[in-house]
Amino acid sequence: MITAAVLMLALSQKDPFPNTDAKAESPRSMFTEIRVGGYYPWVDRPLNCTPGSCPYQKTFNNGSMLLVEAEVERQLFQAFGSAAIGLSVGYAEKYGHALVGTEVTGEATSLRVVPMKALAIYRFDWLAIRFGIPLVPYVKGGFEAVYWWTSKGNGTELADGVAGQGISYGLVGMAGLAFLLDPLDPRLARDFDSGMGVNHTYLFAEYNFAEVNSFGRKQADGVTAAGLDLSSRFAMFGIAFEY
Amino acid sequence: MGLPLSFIPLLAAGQIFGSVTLSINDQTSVTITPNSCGSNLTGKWQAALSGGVCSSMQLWVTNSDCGDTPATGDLRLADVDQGTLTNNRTGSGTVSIPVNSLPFFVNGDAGGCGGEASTTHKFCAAVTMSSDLTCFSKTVVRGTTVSVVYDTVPPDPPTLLSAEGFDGAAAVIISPPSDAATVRLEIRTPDGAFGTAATNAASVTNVTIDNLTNDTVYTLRAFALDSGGIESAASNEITVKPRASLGFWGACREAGCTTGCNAAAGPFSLAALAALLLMSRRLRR
Repeated sequence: MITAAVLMLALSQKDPFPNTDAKAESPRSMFTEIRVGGYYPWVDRPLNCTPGSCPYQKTFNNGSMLLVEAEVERQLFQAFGSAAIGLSVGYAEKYGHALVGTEVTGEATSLRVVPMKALAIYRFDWLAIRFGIPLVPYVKGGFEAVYWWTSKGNGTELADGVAGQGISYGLVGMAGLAFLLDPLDPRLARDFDSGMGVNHTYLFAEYNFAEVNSFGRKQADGVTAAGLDLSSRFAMFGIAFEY
Repeated sequence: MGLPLSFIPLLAAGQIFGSVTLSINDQTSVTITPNSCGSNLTGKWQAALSGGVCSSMQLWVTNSDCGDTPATGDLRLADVDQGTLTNNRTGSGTVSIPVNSLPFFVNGDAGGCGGEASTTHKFCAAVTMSSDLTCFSKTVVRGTTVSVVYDTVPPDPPTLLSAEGFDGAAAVIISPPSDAATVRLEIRTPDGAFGTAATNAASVTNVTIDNLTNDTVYTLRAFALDSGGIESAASNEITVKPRASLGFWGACREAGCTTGCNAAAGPFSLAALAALLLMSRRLRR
């Protein structure tokens, strides 16, 4: 039904996709995105703990972080869809209370993460360019490194003399669908291109597959995982500008 | 709805006749102490007038509110001559204000300057102006208000509402008195002596004291200080015992977490990503 509505919208527009190359569109080579989503890191997955007593679960009351990310892409290919490489950086934090046994204290404790990704991207925007259908499916894949650190009270938390900070890394993939906003107001879209050089504006939703467990690397004991497992599966939503 | 008629002269004075800006020692509020007795304050006036000047400008100090003229018992200072103001409506000047002659010390029961008291004086100015040369319709332009605070009465002591033991630290909630400028928190260490643990602005009501020993009982008390540095009596005493707790990382370590890569590599990861972007630009060319 939604698809039918989108198609009707596309067909009902006299000029559904105003900024094509044939219509003196400014050159486009970059893509910038801002996205947000609920991120629940699977820190507890490799640990020896029973459900309800695992550290992330009990400290943060099973809550997700609000992850905010910005991404910049450089397009390398524009023909049957567009291919690009990109970099993204984000930030998320979660606060809870330190525990004494099972008693919750007033002392704050936190986990903060800065995910950084190097990505290869393919967007199937051929239908949008050629026929004005304002839906662009896309996929991304690449490498992710997450710098993370913890705090308790006023500073970085120490446990057994070890500071709670480190880096986890792994692979990441995303699949999403972007909705082209230009047909909703073609004149504004044209002005945005001629004035600011922004060819197209999208709203998008995507699903993230992140396996950020340092490729399952083990400590010297051969059992303990190296670094926090920051893998997750989660959805993100955002806005993107192509220019 | 129209403006009340009584507002019209005020608006006219502000808009038509300008203003007189006052200060003492270049401040709009000064605090004096018993050490100030015998000295002089320097009052400054800065006129920015327009229209006809109908009187000399009176300057005075009162321990009530500034009116249009000095009241009985106020300290009269030298007037600024009408002719001087007429010739230079944007002039400025200074007057000397002897602290010992402030009205509260001369007229009240204070017994002169230096006793224990809490009072606020105001430095005032007023000049009569008119929009016509005959001064038929007159308006008084008052100077801006400047306060001189003399306070040797200590503030009430603060109240320690609660204290919670953290891991190697204690968190205290303080309720300061309304006239406090700062609050000094003291802690009695296991050797029995009180020492200052923190001094904060009175607006800081949640204070954390670090570097304490877990499982040791500490006693806390606080003192309020007013803007003149006068210290209150001690607050109630409250005890607290810091205790070890597990934050996220502590709990994670117990369950087997490790740091993995060297954390110092974090910034280098960002640099590597930036390098990739630069490489992509080269590929593009």
